[in-house]
Amino acid sequence: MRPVLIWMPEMEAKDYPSRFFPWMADRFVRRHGGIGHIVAERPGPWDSLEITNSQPGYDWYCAIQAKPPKIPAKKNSPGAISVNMMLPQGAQDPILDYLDRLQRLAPIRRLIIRRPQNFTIARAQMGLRTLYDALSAPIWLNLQSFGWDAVSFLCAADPAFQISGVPDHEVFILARLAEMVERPLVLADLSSKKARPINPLPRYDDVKGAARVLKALPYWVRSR
Amino acid sequence: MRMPDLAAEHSLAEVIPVGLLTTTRYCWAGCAFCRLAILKPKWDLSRAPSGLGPDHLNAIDFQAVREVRLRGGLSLAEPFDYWIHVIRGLRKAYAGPITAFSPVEIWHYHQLEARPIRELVRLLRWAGADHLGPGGSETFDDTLREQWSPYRVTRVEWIQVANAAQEANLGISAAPIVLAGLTTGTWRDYLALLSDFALHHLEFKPLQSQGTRLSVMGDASLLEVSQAVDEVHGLVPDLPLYVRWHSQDVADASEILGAAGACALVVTQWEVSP
Ligand code: SF4
Repeated sequence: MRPVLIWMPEMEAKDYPSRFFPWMADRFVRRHGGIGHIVAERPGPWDSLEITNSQPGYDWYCAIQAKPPKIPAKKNSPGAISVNMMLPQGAQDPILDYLDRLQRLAPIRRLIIRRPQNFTIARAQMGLRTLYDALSAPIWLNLQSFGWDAVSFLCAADPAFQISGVPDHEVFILARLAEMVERPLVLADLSSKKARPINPLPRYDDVKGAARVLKALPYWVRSR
Repeated sequence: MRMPDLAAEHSLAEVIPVGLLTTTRYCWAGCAFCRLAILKPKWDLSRAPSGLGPDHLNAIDFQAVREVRLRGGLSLAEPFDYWIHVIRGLRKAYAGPITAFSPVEIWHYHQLEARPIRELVRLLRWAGADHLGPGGSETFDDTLREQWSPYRVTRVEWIQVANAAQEANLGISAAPIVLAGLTTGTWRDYLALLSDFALHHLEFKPLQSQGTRLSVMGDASLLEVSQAVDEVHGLVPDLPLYVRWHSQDVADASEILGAAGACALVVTQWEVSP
């Protein structure tokens, strides 16, 4: 069976005013049937949670911008690590050493990859494959930086990839992509909650009889 | 689903910017996939606001495009000869390739003004058009045509007009709609009908369903288009394949569709509507 394609509703604290965040995050998770992933600054009551400031025992969401964050000491090691990073520019990229050191600290649960602006799809694909071979951590493609065209192509070519950051109003595109690449779509987060299968979108009866079409048109266009 | 291999040697699909001139936005045909036309009854069409005029051609940047296309709804407001003069004016202003009308319009005027098809296409050529548009070749499948555009030209009528156009030395092309569920068989049948023509190119039209009666079907995705291109390229490797591309983001599409076998993406640079 082909690996599943995951729809993971994600909410990041940095996009919201901090006072309201806990309340909004609760609503967010409830709105998705109890399944949803929260990225917060501090620990909170959510099942699927990663925090941006590493704390021992909690899962760490390590976002690498221009400079990678400091790696905590071994005795303060987090549970698991998600790394949000730019696709490495080549085999010499210093980020690869950094990943190596992270890996020795705690298991890397997933790599969320952003696409550098100058990367063609071919180059991105090659980079992703090399990265996957080297680390064998699941790769999530950041939808915003890749765009639907690129992610659908990459997911069709490599069944190991997942897509991160799909906004709710675009889940139907994800559902159609899942059908096209023949992977079952599930709603899941990173907690141990059971993933919920999402049925394929309904197919409309597009082969209507001519008579029905005629009735669908105003009477004054029914002659030629 | 077979994906083109990007690592292999291939070229990017070239981007062709075109300018669109809309003759009129009113039409009585009510095709299901049409995003352009405002449905208006035939009995009222002669009172529709007048269409594109010479004034519209004044402020156009012809330098920015590699082709100009005149297309639009089937209006009864202006006679065919009016459009011949518009095209004549356009020819004076612009030296590049002009695509004007399509078998749909030619058949419309053929019926409306009871003039022979040959006369109409020759006039078009005389006025300075280089190509006849592909309209009417969206699908040649009878069931689909019945559902989508029962009032447009039939397959036989399309072929008749295209034949006359070819005789009159107008370039012709075809523009199949791409949507989910097309198979190699569909494409084989489609191409078989066109085998007698010397097509200038084949231009895929990914379904853009928003605001049309087909909106429940959603837009065609890049994967569907790339699959269609790949299949047709396998069947007719020598025919230049274009893809009508609507989104602003052309770099990715040009890479993937180029690898699938398309040689160009056609994008709208500007659009002038009355
Ligand atoms: S004939 Fe052309 S303009 Fe008229 S409704 Fe059909 S597609 Fe639209």
